[in-house]
Amino acid sequence: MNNKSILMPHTCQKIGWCFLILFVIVMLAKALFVHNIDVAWYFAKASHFIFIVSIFLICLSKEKVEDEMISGFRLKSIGRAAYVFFVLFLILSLFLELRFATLFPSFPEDLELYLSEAFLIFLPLLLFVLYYGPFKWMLWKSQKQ
Amino acid sequence: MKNTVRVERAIKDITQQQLADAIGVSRNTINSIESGKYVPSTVLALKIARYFEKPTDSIFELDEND
Repeated sequence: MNNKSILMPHTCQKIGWCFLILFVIVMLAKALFVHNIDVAWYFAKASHFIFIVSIFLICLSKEKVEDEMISGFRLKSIGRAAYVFFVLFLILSLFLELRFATLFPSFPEDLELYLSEAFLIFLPLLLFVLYYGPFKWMLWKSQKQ
Repeated sequence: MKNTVRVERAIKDITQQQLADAIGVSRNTINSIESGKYVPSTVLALKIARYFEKPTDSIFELDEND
């Protein structure tokens, strides 16, 4: 049977968690020690990049024993994540396209910009929460009994 | 789908971990199969049957709901 997998080896997951810890450290360092706005900008970009890499490594590496049941869990959580993503995209694009600002004059004009910016930053976080969260939860539930 | 993996395992006197290692899955998967929470693929069912040296349909049986 063809068992080729696009997933990375299990060690990558550990490296990913190390990167996530590094991300927290960079964020803390930024919050505590960096007061210059230009330096803070570089710190923000670096931490964003580290976060994406860590999530990439954690989500897309194999479990210790990667078998068909675990693949099934991955499939299920990918399906759910896709569902929630599409609903979210729909709501957000409706929100952005309909230009609520024209409907409600008191609406802040640059809200659209804030929304798209926020969406770019929270996209990887959403992927992490929507895909990896349910996946780990299903794994944990099956281990519990 | 019903199965007699737990019984077969008891006859052979092996642990879930030993069976899991022998057919290359996690112990978690064996546990889920035994408790009926997970229906294995044909390949895995055939592997289990081969390990116990019995025909597949003597270990795995269709349920009334299937």
